[in-house]
Amino acid sequence: MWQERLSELLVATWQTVYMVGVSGLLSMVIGIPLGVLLLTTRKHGLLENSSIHKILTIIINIGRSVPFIILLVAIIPVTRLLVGTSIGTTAAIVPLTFSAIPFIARVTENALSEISYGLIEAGLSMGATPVQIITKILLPEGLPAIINGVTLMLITLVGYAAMAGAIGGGGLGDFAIRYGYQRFETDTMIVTVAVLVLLVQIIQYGGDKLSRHFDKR
Amino acid sequence: MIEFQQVSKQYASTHALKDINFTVQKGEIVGVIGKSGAGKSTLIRCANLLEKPSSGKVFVADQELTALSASALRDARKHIGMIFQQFNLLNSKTVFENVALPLKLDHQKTDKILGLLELVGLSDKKDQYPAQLSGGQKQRVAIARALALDPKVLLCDEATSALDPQNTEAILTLLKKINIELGLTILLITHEMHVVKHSCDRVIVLDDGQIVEEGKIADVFAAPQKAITQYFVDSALRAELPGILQEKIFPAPAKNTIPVWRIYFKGHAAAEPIITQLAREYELNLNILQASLECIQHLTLGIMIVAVDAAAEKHQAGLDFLAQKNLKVEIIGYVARETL
Repeated sequence: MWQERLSELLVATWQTVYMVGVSGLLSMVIGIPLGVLLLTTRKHGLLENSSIHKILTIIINIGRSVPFIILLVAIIPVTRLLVGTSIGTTAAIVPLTFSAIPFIARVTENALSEISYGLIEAGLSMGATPVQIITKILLPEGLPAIINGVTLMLITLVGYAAMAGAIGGGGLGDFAIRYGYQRFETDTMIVTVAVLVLLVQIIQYGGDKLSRHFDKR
Repeated sequence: MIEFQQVSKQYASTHALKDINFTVQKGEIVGVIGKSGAGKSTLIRCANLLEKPSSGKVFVADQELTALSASALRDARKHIGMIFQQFNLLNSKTVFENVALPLKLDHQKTDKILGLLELVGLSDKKDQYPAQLSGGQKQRVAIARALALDPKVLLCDEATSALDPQNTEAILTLLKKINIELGLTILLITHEMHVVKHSCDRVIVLDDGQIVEEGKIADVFAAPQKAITQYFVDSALRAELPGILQEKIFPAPAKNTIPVWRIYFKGHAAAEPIITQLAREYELNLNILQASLECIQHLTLGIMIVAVDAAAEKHQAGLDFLAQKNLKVEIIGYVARETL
């Protein structure tokens, strides 16, 4: 029996990695540009635009204040629209991504706002376009802090993915509930939690290492 | 090369700059000096339009910057290098990559960078990161970066204010060198007269957003017109007494006090044995409290502060003698004889 459990555990681990990885990637692709926009549309920003800034702020604040478990259920119609179903591992990626986007946007905004205005002035004095200042100056300079934020988000996503799993998404959370909780298999529960701990450790370690690699201060 | 025509800059309620007019000729080094809050920083940012003037025109290299579109302004800025007090280097990039940045932004090849690093004396640091460099080295990287696009003009925003005296000297020497070797026109702002004295051809004195005095360094040093200019000149010539002595000086004569004179020497007079003459021919015993001599461009300037120990009736003859020699004298106070 333990062989069966083990292979299921491997599948569940893979499902969690898959959910966290894909939703993490998607939220970065959308969240980082949003964060840049959030920063640059600020007052005295590079692309100062108070109406865009206000709208973004409101949307992001709403996104951040909705509890994940509510979001999971509330956006079922959107999930269905995007992936055709609201059940399964792939479907879980939609709410996970939606919950991570505002987080990443704020993290990016914070990371970039730490950069001295002098660097932007230096860029302007070289004749750089706003896009060049963002891509060649702000993002490279803010990279270590953005990586730290992404690490934090991935770890949060591991926890969220467990919740998503419980309502039909598969993954380690689902696995732990089905065997560890419902069938009282304490061993299975302990092993599953150990895998989760390991996963979090790996993400934190990798994130720290990567951030330090890019941090030349 | 640079021309400001009636440039004013107004923030919400304050005038940062009022009706600024000046010209910087090709190959000149011009220093703008002023106390903090005088508007220097706004002025230099108007020269590449990092700050947009509220009114007036700015010309650089015969181009009216104030009339350009955003994209034409970006192109114009490529020919105007700028360095900053805080260096503003990218911490995430090596020295080489920092200098390469303007070239990359302009889609140019980066093969001239080693030459630039050699010019600023940092060839061996090309793979280091700014955090590994000293302040003086960081400013050299910033200078190399500012020169990467072969600018016609270099703007220096308090470029030496964050540096110690040795590095300040070295950076000013480097600026002078690139001015001569590359024929670069330099506009710099500073709050320190010794920076101006060291490197500039002309100086503009800015006070409360207005130009109050302007001229060749030697002329301004020799005969400052405004009080604020005198203040800067005195600070550069160390014309003030050290604190301990200053406390002992009274504004009016009293029993057993002797006068303290500040004598300004200029040109030939600085080389004449005036003190000896005062002592021998006028019987004035001069107690030298402070003295300094400076060479500015081709002018020798000196300041000497002396306590005059002699009978009161002999003082006037000495003052007359100095006046006849065309030396400016100020009586800065009186000091008790026994304290010296």
